[in-house]
Amino acid sequence: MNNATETHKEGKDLMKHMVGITVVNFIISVVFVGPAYAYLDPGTGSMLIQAVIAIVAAGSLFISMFWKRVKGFLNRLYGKKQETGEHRHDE
Amino acid sequence: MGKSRRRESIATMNRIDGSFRDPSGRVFGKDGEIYRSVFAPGVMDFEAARGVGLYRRLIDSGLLLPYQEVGEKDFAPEGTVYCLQHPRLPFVSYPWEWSFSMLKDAALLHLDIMEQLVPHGFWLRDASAFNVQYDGKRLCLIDTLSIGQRIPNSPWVAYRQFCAHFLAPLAMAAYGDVRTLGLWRNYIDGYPLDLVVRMLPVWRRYLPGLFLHLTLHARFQNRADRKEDLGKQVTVRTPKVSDPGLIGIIRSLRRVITGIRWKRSSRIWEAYENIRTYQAEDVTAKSEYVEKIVRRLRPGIVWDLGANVGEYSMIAAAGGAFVVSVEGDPACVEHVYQRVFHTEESKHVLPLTMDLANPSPGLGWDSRERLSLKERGPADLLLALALIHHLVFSSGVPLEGIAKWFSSLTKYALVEFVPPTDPMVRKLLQNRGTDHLPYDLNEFLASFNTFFNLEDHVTLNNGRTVYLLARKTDA
Repeated sequence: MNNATETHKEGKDLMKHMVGITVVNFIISVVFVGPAYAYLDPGTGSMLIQAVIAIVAAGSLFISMFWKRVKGFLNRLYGKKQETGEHRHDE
Repeated sequence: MGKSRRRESIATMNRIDGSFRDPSGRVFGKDGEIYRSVFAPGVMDFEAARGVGLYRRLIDSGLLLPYQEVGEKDFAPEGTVYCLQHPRLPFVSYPWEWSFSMLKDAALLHLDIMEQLVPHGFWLRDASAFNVQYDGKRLCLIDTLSIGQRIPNSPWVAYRQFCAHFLAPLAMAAYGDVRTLGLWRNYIDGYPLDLVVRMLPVWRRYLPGLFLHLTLHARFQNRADRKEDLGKQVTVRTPKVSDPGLIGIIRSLRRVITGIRWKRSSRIWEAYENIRTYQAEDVTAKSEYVEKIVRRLRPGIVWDLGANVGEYSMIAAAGGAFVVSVEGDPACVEHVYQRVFHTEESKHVLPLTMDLANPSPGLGWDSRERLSLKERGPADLLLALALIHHLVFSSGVPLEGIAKWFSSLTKYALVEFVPPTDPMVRKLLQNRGTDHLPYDLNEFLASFNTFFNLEDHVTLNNGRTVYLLARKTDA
């Protein structure tokens, strides 16, 4: 703590953690509701996060489809033929 | 009577595998055959999956270990509703012995199966690395009963297990150090996600895929597991995950897993090329001798200890044996795995990572859930080529100890003796002076004579000798 570089490093780490924790708390506050008696195990966390990932996965699928269309449109506009290799990343 | 039979079957089961945790079924052995009992809790899922032909489809596509229904068996444990017989696996291996790519392929196998199951309203109830084995042709899922009907709109029940068994160790091996795959021995229920996150380089933790499935996942787990919440009132609404959402999760996992690559230094591979050309004449003579012995003994199972890049494993496999190719260097094991599994060279070699001075112990409940290397033997033939001088000088095991250990593993052994004058031995000794274990031909012969009969030998031009040894029956 009395070391200046260490404090700086800690500050950076703390900032990263703060950003992460804010995101997590936001998501958890969306998913958790009302009171009841429960002691949650880590498995509950694994169930909850899937809702987030499902949304992200669906979102990225939507964006990639949208992007494909934009690309297709631009390619048609400029009369270019796109190599198929680039499309292989989107499943 | 029923009770005592049940007790007996539990004892038998423990020797076969670690399937006792699952209430829906159990694996047991009888007269060298492998059976699986389906108990009442597993019947509904089993009948449903069989009804829509899922097992058939997965078996035909090589993703699932085949089975046959064998009707009632009086030796089956009490409560058996269906009795299935499986083909015997040539060798059961565990993730702490696997190469990086083998664990990765096991992960992708789970995802392949999930993609086939979800559209039919099924899923995998487990995603355990122990459910994947090599059946002599390919990696396949061996746990028939881990296929179950999906709980509608539920998140994937095995997601935590998948991340702990596959994603976490792969990420740590690729972005930390590949030797961390050995941590499997400590974490047999999968790697703790928070531990892995702490071990990753900071910037890796925030890459999109790893951030979601590992970093954020670990945070969610820790948040849910907060001890302060003990006794507090908290309700959790289980989130809904639709079929497309679940497929989205599976594909996202696939992208992340596929993207995790272990970058090996190319220097290592160049070195291997040199090893292969080094003393070509002697290598040929040795290869021919191994080939000759394999043809003569016709071993079913060969253990090649200290296999290096698996040259002699390949020779033994070409002679018709199933070869377990054991090596301590993860880069070598990966090399052999790539050669065997990602080309069509030979499919009867299973490369495993193991420090032979510290071979796989029995692990898990009562130390019997996962078997030690010795318990998975004996081999018909053991290859110890250019190995024992390493055990003597690098690991400090006396020759007699090596001979005794070998005799507990195999019926026959091909053991190479490298004389003390050999450049390799001199190199091993250069910083040790004379302060080392006795090592010369007389000591070697005396040690091995206690446990083996010397049947045959060949001396190579470089002064090294390969002995064919047969275990003494009374030893």
